[in-house]
Amino acid sequence: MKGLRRYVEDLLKGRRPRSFPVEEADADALRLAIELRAARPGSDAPREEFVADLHRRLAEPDNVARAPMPVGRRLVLGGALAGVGAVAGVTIDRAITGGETPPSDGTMTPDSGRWHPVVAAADLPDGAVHSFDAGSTTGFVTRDGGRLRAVSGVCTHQGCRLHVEGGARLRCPCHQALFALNGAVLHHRLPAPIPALPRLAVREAGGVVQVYVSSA
Amino acid sequence: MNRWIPGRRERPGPDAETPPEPRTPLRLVEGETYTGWEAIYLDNVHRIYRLMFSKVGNRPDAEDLTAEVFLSALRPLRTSASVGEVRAYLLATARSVLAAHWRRTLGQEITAIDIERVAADFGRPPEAGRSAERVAGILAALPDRYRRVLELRFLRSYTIREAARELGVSVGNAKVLQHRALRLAAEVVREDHSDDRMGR
Repeated sequence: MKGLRRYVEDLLKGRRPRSFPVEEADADALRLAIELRAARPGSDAPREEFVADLHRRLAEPDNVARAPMPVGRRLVLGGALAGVGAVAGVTIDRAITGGETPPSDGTMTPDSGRWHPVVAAADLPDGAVHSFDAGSTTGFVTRDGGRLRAVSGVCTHQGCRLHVEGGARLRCPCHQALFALNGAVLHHRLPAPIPALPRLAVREAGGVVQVYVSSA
Repeated sequence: MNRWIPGRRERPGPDAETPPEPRTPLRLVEGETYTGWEAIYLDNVHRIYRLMFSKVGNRPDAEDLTAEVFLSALRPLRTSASVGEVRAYLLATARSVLAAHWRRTLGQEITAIDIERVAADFGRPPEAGRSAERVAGILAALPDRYRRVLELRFLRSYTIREAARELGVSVGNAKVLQHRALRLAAEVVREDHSDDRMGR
């Protein structure tokens, strides 16, 4: 109760609130306090200094790498229309990759997961490969013949991070194992066979390609 | 003062099976694209900030989360994507940034971004109307003194001392009053939301 009071007091004073152990009843009160505070007239516009400062930060070369890659106009538009449809409320096109790969750990199924946005759907034309880092999981999403696939980006041999080679293969830098974009092992020079890459559930929702990863 | 309740119930529920009418203004701009990342930023920074502020209720957090959205979203965005696509991507990013914020700070998701609901408003000019109306509805359901203490403190920036003076009670009493008012109001909202979850 003390934690809640202090949190609310921080909200009222415009300070950054401190965390505390939240009980269920607290959560409802907090949600309401936030809503009430946010309804204070004139308080929801950002400070001009903040807007200018973030603008400057984004302009630093490290932050926004602007190197537009060519994308077929037709594909971009197609993706855009699909995206708008999804935003309008027609979700969810889930596509889990098919079973033509050799046995592996199969599809990654975390105990408790969340959909992590990877890339705008329009930015993943057919044949493109896009790497992602979702914290607990890294990997690659691809679109092949209109179908989305996502695989883990970690070599099943010793856990080195894979990179894209020639736009259509995943190479392990440690022992040169080579994987296909669907996770299948193409070749390796290791004494024992290694499993295929785990796949991830992937979908397109709201114009965004998302993968299902651990929420922890 | 109950206008807000029927207003919300007219909308399809979050799990409605049928695709809603094309109410999203994103359709209006589907062919347009931005001229560069700066255009994306300038067109959306106020929207994202406002959204974040409505979800966390304080400036330091809202600024940090807004910065996080743009720092992580602008890189993978290509400006040939349409305005609607860019906004959808920013919203999706904002949703996960906010969820991570709650996990990090309080360990549970206090508020969340409902992409479909937010997207419908995202392209429009900001209007204080709806949330103000909602809040007015909640307050109207409270006993007079509870309503007044919340109004004074949350909406009119009174200090606890000023609020106590205004209400003619001691500072200690005002604190208790405010706490109880918040609890009661939360209950009112919870009961009302058995069929319509707030902010989810």
